[in-house]
Amino acid sequence: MSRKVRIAQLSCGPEYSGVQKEIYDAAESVGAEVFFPDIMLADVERAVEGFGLDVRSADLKLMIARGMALVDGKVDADGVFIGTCFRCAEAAIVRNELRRYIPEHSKLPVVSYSFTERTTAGTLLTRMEALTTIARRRALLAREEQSGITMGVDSGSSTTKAVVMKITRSSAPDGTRRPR
Amino acid sequence: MAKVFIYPATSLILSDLVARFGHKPLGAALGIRERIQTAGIDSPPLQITPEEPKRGLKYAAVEVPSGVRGRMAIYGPLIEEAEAAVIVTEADLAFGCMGCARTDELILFSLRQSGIPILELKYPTNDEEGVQFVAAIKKFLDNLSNGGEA
Repeated sequence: MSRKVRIAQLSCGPEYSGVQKEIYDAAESVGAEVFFPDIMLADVERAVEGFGLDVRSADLKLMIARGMALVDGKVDADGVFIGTCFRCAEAAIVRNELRRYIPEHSKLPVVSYSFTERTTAGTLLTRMEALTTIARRRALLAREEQSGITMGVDSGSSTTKAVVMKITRSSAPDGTRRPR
Repeated sequence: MAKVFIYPATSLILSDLVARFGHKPLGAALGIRERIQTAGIDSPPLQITPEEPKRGLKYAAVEVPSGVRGRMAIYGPLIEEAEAAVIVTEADLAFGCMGCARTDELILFSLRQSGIPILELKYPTNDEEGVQFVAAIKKFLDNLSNGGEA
């Protein structure tokens, strides 16, 4: 049996939304375990200052500090799950900035999601599966050097995104289209 | 003995001060204890299920984030029960951390709207302010014992 994939959870609100167990269940069903990176209290304010995003909510400050601890290698993880409440503007900013920051400064795969109290383990399953697959099959999926032309399309519920890669250079000038 | 809502609701120091001066502190520990002492492990770690954000609809509209409504399901009934409140603003994270700034705003608004006697203090930053801070809380709580409005 293969080792469990360790997913670091950076979140604000899942316990109070009643969906923390759904996150645990989704991770469990794809052979992963979710954990919260341990950091010191002093690291929180220092990290927020270093990150440069001045947020009011303490849980969001904690998310930033945990994200920076992962990037700095203070905490070991195979992947990162970022989750915040749907409709929270402050959280959406932090979620998206961490979503950008972590892959730019480390090789950790990241999945982010905004939940409501209706979010179930089934909803989270595809995200968790993608995260664990990337973590497990990194060597196969990662392409440092790319030759020829490759196109990727992601068609979701509200938008369709496309990217064309030609010899390690990407081109997606206006690749996002709303489906008719 | 009056029921005194404390803010930050997670502050053990504030909870201890209120209890020490003869009143019942209403804070996070009370709301969470009620849930985690219930048998079963439906929704660890806080035993808050998706039902809580729905109960929170009494205190916040449906378009408010679920985390705020879930928190209000804990703090809302305590605010309704409170006969007085001690509010400490600009507190250090170690003094008591509530997590969500939007919930904090709603809690403070609800307390101010409730019409109960409220003591609002800034978190002390040095020894002298610390002494004045404790003295102000003592005076407020003593007045509550005497039936006054502080």
